Amino acid sequence: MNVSRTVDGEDVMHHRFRLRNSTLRITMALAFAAFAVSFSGASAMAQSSRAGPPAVPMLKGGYALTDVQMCNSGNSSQITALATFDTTTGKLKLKGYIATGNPVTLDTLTQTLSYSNSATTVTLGDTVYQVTYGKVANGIATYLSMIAAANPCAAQIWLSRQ
Amino acid sequence: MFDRTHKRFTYVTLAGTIAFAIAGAAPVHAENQDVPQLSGTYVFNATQNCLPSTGDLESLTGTMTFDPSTGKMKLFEYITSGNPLTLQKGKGTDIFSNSASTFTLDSTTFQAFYGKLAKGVATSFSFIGVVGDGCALQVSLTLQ
Repeated sequence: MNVSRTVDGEDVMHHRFRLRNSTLRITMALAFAAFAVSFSGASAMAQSSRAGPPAVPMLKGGYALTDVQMCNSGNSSQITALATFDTTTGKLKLKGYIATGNPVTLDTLTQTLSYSNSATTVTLGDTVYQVTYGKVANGIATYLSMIAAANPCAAQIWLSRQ
Repeated sequence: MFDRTHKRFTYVTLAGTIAFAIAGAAPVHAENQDVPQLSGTYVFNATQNCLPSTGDLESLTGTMTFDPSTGKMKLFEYITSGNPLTLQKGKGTDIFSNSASTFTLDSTTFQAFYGKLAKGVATSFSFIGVVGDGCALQVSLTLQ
């Protein structure tokens, strides 16, 4: 009871203050709400604009490449190489080894191709591959797996960034 | 006076020892940097193409666990091969070693390319070579 009275007393004593205080609180709450609404709106807009065009991972630097090509004609080839993507020239340099032929031999391979990529495809030379990207670090794909049917051959390529 | 001199001598000697140790360790360190270490368990995908010779094409998936202290690799794999195609399970242990550009399994040396290194350990690598009676074996591995 004593406690209640004390509270009642305080209520009376600070009624005026409480009114001012509550007015201030309401004003601050409204201001905060307005800010929150505008901020969330801006954030939502930013998110929707980000969600619009899908991000395109960059292919840049050196990757360990594994390439398997199987052909209906019976020919096949396998390439393991260092693939270096140069973003300034749009060129891909391959330096490694190719196993092919009958009998199978392992030979050195050096090749330069033009390249480009989108969120879903990678184009190497004239061949368009459907791609799935792995982890992207600083906008650069650290891993990707791609496949293409270029009759009479099917080609699968895996790339892992150095 | 003696203490100061002694301390200075000690400092000089200590600095010299550290410098010598660093200089001595540098080439070894550089050498270690050049050769990625294979350590731990890697998930692998492989294709063994014997179409030109035996007409067989094998796809392999599994794990390879490398122990650099023993130089041994433990293999666990599934293999599709044959006509009609069958799925078989396999396991084994092999001796391995590697250089900056090659990977050797038992007595067969493959050409290797490494992905990113983490504390000197290859987080991924690929190798290729000709094995047996004219089969091309190509393997791609990723550290777990």
